[in-house]
Amino acid sequence: MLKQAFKKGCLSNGLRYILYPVKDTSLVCVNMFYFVGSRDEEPDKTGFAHLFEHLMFAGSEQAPSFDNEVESAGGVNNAFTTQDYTDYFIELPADNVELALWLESDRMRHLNINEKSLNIQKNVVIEEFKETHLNQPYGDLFHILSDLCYTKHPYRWPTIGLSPEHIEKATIEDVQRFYDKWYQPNNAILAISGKFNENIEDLIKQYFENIPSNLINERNYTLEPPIEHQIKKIVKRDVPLNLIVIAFPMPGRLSPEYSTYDILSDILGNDNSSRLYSSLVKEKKLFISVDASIMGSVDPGLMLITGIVKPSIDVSKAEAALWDELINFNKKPITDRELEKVKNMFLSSLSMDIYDLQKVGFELSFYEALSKAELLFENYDVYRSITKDDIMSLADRILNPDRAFVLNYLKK
Amino acid sequence: MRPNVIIPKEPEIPYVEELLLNNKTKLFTYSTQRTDLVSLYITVPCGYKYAKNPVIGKFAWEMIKAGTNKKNSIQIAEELNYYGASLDISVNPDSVNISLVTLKDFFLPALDLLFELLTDANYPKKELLLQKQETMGILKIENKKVESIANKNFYKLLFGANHPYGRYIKYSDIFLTQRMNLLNFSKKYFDFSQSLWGLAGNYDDQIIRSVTEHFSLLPNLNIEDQTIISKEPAKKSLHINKKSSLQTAIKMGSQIKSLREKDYPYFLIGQTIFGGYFGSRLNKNIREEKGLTYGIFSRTNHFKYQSVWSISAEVKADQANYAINEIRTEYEKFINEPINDEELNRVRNYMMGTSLFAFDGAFNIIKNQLKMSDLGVSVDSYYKNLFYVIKNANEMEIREKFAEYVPWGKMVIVTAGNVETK
Repeated sequence: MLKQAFKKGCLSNGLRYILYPVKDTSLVCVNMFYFVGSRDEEPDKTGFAHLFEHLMFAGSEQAPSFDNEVESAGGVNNAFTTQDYTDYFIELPADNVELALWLESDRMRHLNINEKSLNIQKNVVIEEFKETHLNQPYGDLFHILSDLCYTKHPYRWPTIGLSPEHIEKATIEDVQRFYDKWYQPNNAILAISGKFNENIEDLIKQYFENIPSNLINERNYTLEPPIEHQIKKIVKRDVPLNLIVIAFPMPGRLSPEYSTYDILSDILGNDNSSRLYSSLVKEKKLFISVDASIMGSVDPGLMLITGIVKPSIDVSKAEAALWDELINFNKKPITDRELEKVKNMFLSSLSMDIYDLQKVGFELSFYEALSKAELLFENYDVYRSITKDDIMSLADRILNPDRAFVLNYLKK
Repeated sequence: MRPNVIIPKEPEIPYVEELLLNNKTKLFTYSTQRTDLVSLYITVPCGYKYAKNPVIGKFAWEMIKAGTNKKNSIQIAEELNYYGASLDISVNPDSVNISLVTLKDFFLPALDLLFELLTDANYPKKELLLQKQETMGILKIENKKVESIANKNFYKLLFGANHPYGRYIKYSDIFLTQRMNLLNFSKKYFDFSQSLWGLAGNYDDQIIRSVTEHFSLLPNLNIEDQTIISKEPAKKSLHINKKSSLQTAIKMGSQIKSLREKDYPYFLIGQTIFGGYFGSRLNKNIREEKGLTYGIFSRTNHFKYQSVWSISAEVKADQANYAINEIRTEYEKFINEPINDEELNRVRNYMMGTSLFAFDGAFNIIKNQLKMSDLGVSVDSYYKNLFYVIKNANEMEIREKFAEYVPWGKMVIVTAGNVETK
């Protein structure tokens, strides 16, 4: 069931496409993935990739109102930007798939770039910045964490940008340059998931084959040097509860060890039966919540342990207990059932993702951009092959206080 | 060249199988081979309105995962995770919605576990303490957010502080909740006699049999539903000052007639044009033309005994008055000026096309079926009427019904932020 058939192709201009047919639906999702994110920004103009995402809805030469076109065809559309990529999708009745292809091709070829829409979207994005980061408790957490854990790589700023002033500075020339540099067919993956006819490849050729492409320069961002001693930061903010974050450097998405990090983080703290939760929340009653996760970035990234400390508990005592669990991870051997549990959770989550037309389109595109779309399904075999020894050996190597970044985010 | 748009067809309402579990309870089923997952949904009309303190009703349901006489909370969580299952419980004033999603191979043991939780939850004291601390923590964080402050004060103003739809959780409610309260609530109100059940995904006959058998063993108390009556609010506006806030949250709206009314679809079209989709008047003006907000939208919220229409936005801190004035201007314009054909046809197509989403895939079909059944609405007649009105309503009918459903004079306006609004 998990391995479902899909087809791939590539046009002469380098645009890759993926076709994922689904029988029992009357909808189709057209997903356009551009392999550009906030890591590709200039350090003095951060937040630009996300601002640009907003501008992609400002209309194009033949379709002055993108949203009106989609809505008139009975569909919805949206987009999101991360440090590594920007993803756009249109979900609509299958009969109108051609309209979605036309809209995507027109904004890939002739985006309507003008001062008025730039100025309005700067305001909108600044309000988004406030709503999601500046005017929320813990909203600047990732600003602080990124700055703490990265000194050289562009992951040192979050996708929303370092500050609203950077958004304010964006000029029309920046917009044009960014568009010309990154929004090229050979830097994009088109995925169509859902119901479509046999002529779909002809339509893709009709709308995209003639879009010229530019050379996309290979990225060569400076990687972070290995961490040699613990780096710790304490900040105080107007928040109700103290929070501790421990971040361990980890390899990028294509590393053979990536999946082992993922499973280790699941065993540590992905759910209410995980080791950290059972011990620190339920038994020792030091934290209100604790969880472990990986950032999932393309370049080397972070495995994060995040805990909200109970109000009556001293932060240093809570942190010491957290370290105690991490350092002594291997003293309690991983059981077969424990490993099977996280693998079942992975399978369940993957099954949910591939049931959703938009998610499966996005996931296939992402893996195709990284290496090959087939990885989405092959990953399950990779996860199944990971052994207890693999995880314990990794834990032994990395769960080390001298190789970690620590943030204490405290209430004033 | 722009391809022709094919006007979205009226969606076919999918046939959902119904099985009678008893004389008042139905099991709705819809299968698919597209996935290895199976979902069970249960809606029980025994929400927190039955408790004087809403926390008692919420915790009694939510904490079934906290322990039974045989298993502690960690064992329960471990078992669910081993089955790759997610068990979500959400409690509203009238009902509780339970969903169990799991891999097909593990559905039967996961169902056994759910049955154990529903019949044998024992609310250990230490778990209650943890739950209180966690809820207190979440509440403290929410109370720092202007959006949450505006939202809860809106419902308080709209219904009254002690009304089930207006009563929000206070620190003292959490503090005062005792284990005995939860045990009493579960004994008295865990009544499945009028519950609604839905099964979706890749299930087989054995799974249906097992669901039926489990249901027959659940408490059948036949408690009488408590009808809720709402009055018009006495006070119409409120500002909560949050000096340090960078934005001001606006929440405004009114009580409206039920979606069971035959003319409701006319209002729904109007509300969509006004603020219910991305291309709406409000979003075009306040976000896309003036850049005052990241997003503004209007929506309906249907409690079992009262529907509500509201507008929400977080705007530049010093521009809340301006934004409210613009909302008023758009409102006046909407009810007084004809809607042009282009806009009306766009919204007709949008509403018809996006109706497909409710019928796309087994999980959506069954969730929608339960939601509508809980509100006492027949899916078939509601959607047939909706599709008819989408196709045939004229612009004047839409504006008239919109003005009738939401007269400006009924509007309750709440703001939370650092600038006093007038």
